[in-house]
Amino acid sequence: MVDTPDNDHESLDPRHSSAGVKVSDLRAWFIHEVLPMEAALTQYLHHNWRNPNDIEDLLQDVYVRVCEAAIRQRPDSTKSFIFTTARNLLIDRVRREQVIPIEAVLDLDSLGIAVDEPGPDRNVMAREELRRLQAALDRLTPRCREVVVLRRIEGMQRRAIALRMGISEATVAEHLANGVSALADILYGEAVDFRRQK
Amino acid sequence: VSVVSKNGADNAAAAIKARAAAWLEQRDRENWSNVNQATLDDWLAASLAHRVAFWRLDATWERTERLAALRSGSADDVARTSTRWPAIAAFAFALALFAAFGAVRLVPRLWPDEQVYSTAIGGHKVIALST
Repeated sequence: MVDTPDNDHESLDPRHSSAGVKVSDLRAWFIHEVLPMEAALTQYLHHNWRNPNDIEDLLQDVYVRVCEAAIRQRPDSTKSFIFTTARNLLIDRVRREQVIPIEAVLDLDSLGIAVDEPGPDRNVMAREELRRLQAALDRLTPRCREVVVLRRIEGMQRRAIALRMGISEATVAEHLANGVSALADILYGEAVDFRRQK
Repeated sequence: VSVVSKNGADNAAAAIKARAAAWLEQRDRENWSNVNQATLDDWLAASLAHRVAFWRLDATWERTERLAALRSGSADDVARTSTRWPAIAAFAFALALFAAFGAVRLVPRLWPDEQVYSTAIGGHKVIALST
């Protein structure tokens, strides 16, 4: 994954710039170590929270909390840190909202969540990555997929895409924004299919 | 570092995600300027929730770039995580993958999504990566 940080010279805490974590470092850590946990984390939240409409907000709050903590100190084990953070967040929410979660299942192992990444056979990983990307693309609506493919794979400009498909550039932009959002949910939010198949 | 405001807004995360997607889409335009970038930087700096939402979509956006490398035949880029994957094999795989992808799309969906990988096309076998 290529890192093209937005503003990597920037320190996250200007008051303590000498001790501040660079944005690019936090970004790389988040993308490479936190995001791959999203499917398992989502599953965990679903298991432990009654209202599915809250999951997206809870997920975001976990991300914000782990990043806030990582600015101060990078955790030794990202995995256990993420799930401890998620558990604490749910407990806080229960206290604040006086709601009772479905059950207090806070033990990862009891959920059978596969969190550990598979062994680093890089060839297999590269091929799996392509398969996952293809499968994810195939899940988009046809028009959305066409726009994403023309822009990202064929490298066509928006105007050309709009002309070719007989739609406005604004619609092209809409498809691109929706497409990347849907792809993120599929690629990060869903468990890898071959695990479910076993 | 500012925390995301929890003002009881309905599904605040979804709104932030939509905004992040719109930013990402705009950044991809030809006329993206330094002024635009500065505005985006301000938005990112306003909340860690903005940053994580944007990073997540940006990482997704970059992942789709691998497919572009595959299409243009520069298999080295696609398999750049691979130590030594011969370019010819990579390209052959690329062709096979696209052929399989096309075939799957032509055939009516008679099987559930999770079985897509297990079709016999191309004779690929499913490799369990986890124990």
